[in-house]
Amino acid sequence: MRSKAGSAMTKVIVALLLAVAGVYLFVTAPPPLPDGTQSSACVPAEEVLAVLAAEGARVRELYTREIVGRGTAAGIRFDERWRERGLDAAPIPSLFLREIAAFVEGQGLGVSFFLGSDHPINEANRLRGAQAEAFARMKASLRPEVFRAPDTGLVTAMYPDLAIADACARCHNEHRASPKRDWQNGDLMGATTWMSSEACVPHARVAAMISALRGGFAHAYRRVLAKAATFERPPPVGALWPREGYLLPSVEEFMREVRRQTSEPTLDSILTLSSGAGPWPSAGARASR
Amino acid sequence: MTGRSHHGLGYAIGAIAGGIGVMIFATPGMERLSAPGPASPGHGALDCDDCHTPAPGSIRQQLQAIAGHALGLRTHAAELGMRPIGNDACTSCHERPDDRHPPFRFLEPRFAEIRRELAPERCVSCHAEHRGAALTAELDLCRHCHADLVLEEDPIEPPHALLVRVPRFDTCLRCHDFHGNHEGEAPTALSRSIPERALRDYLSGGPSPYPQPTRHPARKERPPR
Repeated sequence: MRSKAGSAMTKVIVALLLAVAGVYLFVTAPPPLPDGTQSSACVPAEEVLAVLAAEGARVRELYTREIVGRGTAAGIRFDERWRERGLDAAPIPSLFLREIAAFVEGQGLGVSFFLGSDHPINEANRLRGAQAEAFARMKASLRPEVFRAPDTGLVTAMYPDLAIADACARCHNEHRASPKRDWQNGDLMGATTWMSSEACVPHARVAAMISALRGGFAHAYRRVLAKAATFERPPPVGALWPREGYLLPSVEEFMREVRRQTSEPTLDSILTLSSGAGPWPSAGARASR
Repeated sequence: MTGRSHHGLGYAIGAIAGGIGVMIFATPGMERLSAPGPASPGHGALDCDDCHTPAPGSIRQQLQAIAGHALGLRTHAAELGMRPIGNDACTSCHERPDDRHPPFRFLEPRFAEIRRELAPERCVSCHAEHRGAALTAELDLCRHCHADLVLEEDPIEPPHALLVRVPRFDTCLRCHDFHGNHEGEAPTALSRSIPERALRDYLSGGPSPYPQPTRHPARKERPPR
């Protein structure tokens, strides 16, 4: 009888505790915390990454053709060891992009990008696993590949990297560590992988990401000029470009050209995102032209 | 005193002692008593809330969100109490623009296996706090990525090929600065590298064996959030 009473008392106590918990959590609860991003006010990450990748590809082409290509012809040296003291060399395109990537990642917007290849000069840049499989498909289609990284959950979009300038194929063919020496203009040399920590990016953050990317362009180019200033014979910096001689444009001049080449297509893309009326131009579509 | 009064006295003493303990730990300025271990070298002057920031909302709102998520009433749960420590807690003071191994680099999909083994995308995987040491990962951590290292030119003595084959990945950090934050060229002979004892002492909180100061020293004060 005593144990029956004890058991009943236990049930009553448990029921009271559950009732209190229910009141605490649900009945008289304070205003709820925001439940993440509202889907109606955000843009799918792969669409945002396409905009960023397209702008990045244009600037990469600008740097490769007009700074590296023309600069090499004018006597400016570009080398992968550009950071070494005493070596009068500016960064090669892939390392210029790495400077941009480090800046963008440091802005805390959850977006990052990397270069990779199945014939890398540096083995550390070899594509593996899911990226290698995606790249194999890309070789056939020359279209972007989008997937979700299984362990990190990051939205991952790979875009084709084509040899868009003579400097691309020439430097890779001549490099002592290159595993492939018959690259030609237009070849698929690798892929740029963009990643976003959010599956759906708030509209306000889209503008911040583009801003961060452009900040990265300026930051990386400032580093080019800072290194060039240490050369034994520093190239004059101003309004002129290497196509005019042993010269480098200022940051303002470089970014003016960046904006001239990217603003219109990026604005078109953003307007498409905002209106929800796709499809929009992607870096893959650009690469397949 | 009867047995029951012994029990009652024991419960009373326990409740009072527990209450005093809670009051001490909850007193502002006494948070350090809750620390699970000694601070990493250079972090002794930091306050707990320099890294441990409260999660958004009150405890009740957080519990409400967690319960709602568990019951399928919400898409996202909430953090309870404190935010998890992310890399931004570290990089806000330890910013290195030329980092040779920036943590974000390891988020790329092709490092999935490395993430499972070492989680190098998180600063605290190698630099866990409250252990009193600068490096808490194993000294031969380089083997996780560079076990198949092959060099065309291998001018050091002994050659990298031998160090990989034996293996002696515990020697890597004696020549190569992981983050590249120290000036200087890597020596061409292991005999001219940082002695192992000096390196282990440094990574355990001892004096720096590097001849040059760091290129990007840590901030002395955390920047405003």
